Amino acid sequence: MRKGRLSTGARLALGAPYLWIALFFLAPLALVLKISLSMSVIAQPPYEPAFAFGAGLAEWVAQAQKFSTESYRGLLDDPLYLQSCLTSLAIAGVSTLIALLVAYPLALAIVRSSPRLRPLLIGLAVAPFWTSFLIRVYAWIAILKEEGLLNHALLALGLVDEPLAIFATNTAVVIGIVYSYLPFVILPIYNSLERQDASLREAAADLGASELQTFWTVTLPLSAPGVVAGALLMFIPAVGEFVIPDLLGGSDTIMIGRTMWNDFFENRDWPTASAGAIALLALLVGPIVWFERRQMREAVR
Amino acid sequence: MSAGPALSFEQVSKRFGATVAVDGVSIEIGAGEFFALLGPSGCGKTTLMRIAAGFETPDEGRVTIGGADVTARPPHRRPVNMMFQSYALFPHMSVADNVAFGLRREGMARADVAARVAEMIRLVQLQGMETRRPDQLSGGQRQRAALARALARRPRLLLLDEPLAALDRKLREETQFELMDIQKRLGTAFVVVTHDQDEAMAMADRIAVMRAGRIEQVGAPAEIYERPRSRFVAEFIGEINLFEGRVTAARDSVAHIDTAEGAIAANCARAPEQGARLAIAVRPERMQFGGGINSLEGVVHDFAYRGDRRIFRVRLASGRLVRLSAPVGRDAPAAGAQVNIAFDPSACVLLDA
Amino acid sequence: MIDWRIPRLTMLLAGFAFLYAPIALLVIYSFNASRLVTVWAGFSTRWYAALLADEQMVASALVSLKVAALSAAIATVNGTLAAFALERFGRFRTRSIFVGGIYAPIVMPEVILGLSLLLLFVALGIGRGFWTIVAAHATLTMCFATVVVRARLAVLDLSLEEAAMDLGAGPVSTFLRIVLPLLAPALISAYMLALILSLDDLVIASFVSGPGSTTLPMRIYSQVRLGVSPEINAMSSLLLGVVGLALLAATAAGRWRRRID
Repeated sequence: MRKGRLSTGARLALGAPYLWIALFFLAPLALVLKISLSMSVIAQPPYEPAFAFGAGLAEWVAQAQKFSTESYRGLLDDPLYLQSCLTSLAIAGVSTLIALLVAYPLALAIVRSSPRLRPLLIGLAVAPFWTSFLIRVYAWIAILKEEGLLNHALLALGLVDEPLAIFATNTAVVIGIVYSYLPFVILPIYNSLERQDASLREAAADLGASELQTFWTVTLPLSAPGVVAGALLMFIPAVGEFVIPDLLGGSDTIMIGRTMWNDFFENRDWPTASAGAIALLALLVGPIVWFERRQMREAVR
Repeated sequence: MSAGPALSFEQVSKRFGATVAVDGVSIEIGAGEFFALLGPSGCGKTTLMRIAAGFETPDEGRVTIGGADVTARPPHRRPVNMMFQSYALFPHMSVADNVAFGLRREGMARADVAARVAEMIRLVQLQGMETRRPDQLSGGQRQRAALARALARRPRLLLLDEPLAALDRKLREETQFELMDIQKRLGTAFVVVTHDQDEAMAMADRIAVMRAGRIEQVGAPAEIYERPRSRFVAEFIGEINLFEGRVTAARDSVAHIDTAEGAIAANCARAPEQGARLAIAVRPERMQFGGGINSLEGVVHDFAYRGDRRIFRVRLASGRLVRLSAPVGRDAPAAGAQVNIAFDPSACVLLDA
Repeated sequence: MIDWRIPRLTMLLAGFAFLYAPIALLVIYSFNASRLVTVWAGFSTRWYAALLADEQMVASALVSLKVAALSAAIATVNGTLAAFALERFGRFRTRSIFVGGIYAPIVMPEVILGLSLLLLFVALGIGRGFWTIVAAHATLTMCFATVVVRARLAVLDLSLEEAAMDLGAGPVSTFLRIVLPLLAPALISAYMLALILSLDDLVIASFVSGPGSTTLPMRIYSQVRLGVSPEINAMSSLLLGVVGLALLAATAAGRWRRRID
């Protein structure tokens, strides 16, 4: 059955998803690349059509002469893009780090609970993922606002004298991202911890390692793949996050997803937004490829 | 119905990438024969069986079933059935539905299906289990259900992939006899793939020993045990002592061989060339304590108790250990005792070194 | 031996409080009589009543449900076929492109996916609306469906399919009688996951929707931007309730299935 060529049935079965992916994922990406390389002309549609669909090859080649990297140069010149890119990386990075610090002990606590409780606990930890992302972000507005629930509580308890200004800051965005993506980080860490053979820890203890030494030398290193997977699963989409900075951030929280959104919908500068998308994609492809390679190596071992 | 052997491979080869799984194998398996493909894991026996079932297509060669060329036929159009190592019972169907599955694919009438299922259930003694799901059965019952399912279509040939591997030791022996019994009663050709020599020896009419994609030897169990044709077969089947040496003289049907352990006389069908390097293989049970033609001195190293016999390990003057199997008796030497061991020239099998 | 019970319990309590407190507060304040969302002024269900009277909101909810039901169906079919291709067909040419196309949307920022799909629809001259959202959501959710179905296929004993063929079942019959029944729980999970992701999506829908096809998250988003409102709290609570019930039902169904097995 393992052959290079496929049977007719297999071809038919493969055809539908393949065509779908080609039409709705690969073709659009090619188009984004294309448009990012065309002139920015304010028109409707707001880019100079570099070639029409179904145009002849000759015309294609002729159009290709007009390709321009103007949008990419614009990207580099535009401090907004560079700034928002750096802000995105910083916010996503800090959020991922905090999420790991929260998720790891939580996952560990769940794994070390009684086997009967474990499925329930991990189910509860992951359940928020199934509820609306938008609603979960929205819930934090009421909490973090200046006259929100957190400040009410803090003032009532006398912990602060005046309301904390968290809402509409980068801090609020980080809280929102950590909260929203936490299930994504807990699950892979939990899985890698759960797979660990309990006798490994017993062996370490038997060989004279203290509990802390066992953790640092056995448990943590063995769960590293889960930590890496969780971090990537969170970091990559967090960089391009739009909803959270838009709802919880301030006017100075300019993340790349939001910048692209604005360029697209408000400035109607499609080539620049497209160039931004391609640049972001290039930035994110690196870690994914690295992760894939790593997993392949692990699979080989 | 077409005549001819139940199954034949003609120069069949199969490669997976750079590895050659099956290398120019030719075998014929007669109608009603109980045949075993025996070899260590990775020797190509499973691939060979999967080629017979149609799950793999050979790169070269021809496969015939009952004289008809089936090389290019897909599995569902072949008159063979297979019992899988994992049994592969459909977990969402009852035992009866599992057994009926193949019959229904044939388009057999409902009443006939019911009758055949009942017959098969009786054959494997699973009465009362018809409505159970596979996971409600014990290991032995699953094995029977899988057998009933594979036999329901009355195939000319049944392939069994490690049929006893998942059973515990006691059940394994019982099931061996049952399989032999069922095979005799139905007259269906059985081809068993196994890595367990005891299993193959106990059940099969003929055994093919495989190694690295090739057939090393085909023959009746006794023939393979008594007259192995290569060192590999000798060492793979049962326990054996090997002595290497050079032929000093050969006349009539006896060869004299000079080894590190001393001169050994061995019977041979065809006199070997003088000066040739050979290995002499002697089974432990063909050696005994005391004097004789081939007599070697040694010290008992240790022994293992095996019920009716003891397996002694004796260290010879040359330093090597040989195994000797003797019936349990009162005069058995203790560990550390100085002993003489001897074996008859007829106990020796000459093999290429 | 250190007693880890207390720290473990503390960690669990703190973790789950962080995960669930915001949701709980949201639900509690949806029953607040006051319009001020942070000041408790007694129990009331008035915001639920107001919500049901909001025709636009109800219409958007219907759009969302239709989009989700349809796109999840497409995604499940496509995802199942894709999972099969990846798990059973071995190596074929352009497999790596296929794999990339299948898995990339899972981690890709939604903004990029939405933007690229919008450009496609503009370039093809397709009017944006209900069907473009369905197509976009089916593309996004198909990846997740593939992952779910593939995970099940990977542990499905290949010899079951071989046994069926050995017993005379052709490829189609094998698929319908053996693979499909054994895959059913995974297919249901895949469909549910696709459904929920579609219901939840704001970004992609915003790019590819047209007039008259405003989804529920888009409607909620446009109101949320104006600030916190008790009506949105009520809406959110309803959605949370539906998801909570669905999760409970799924868990119960899982338990029941394990029992009869």
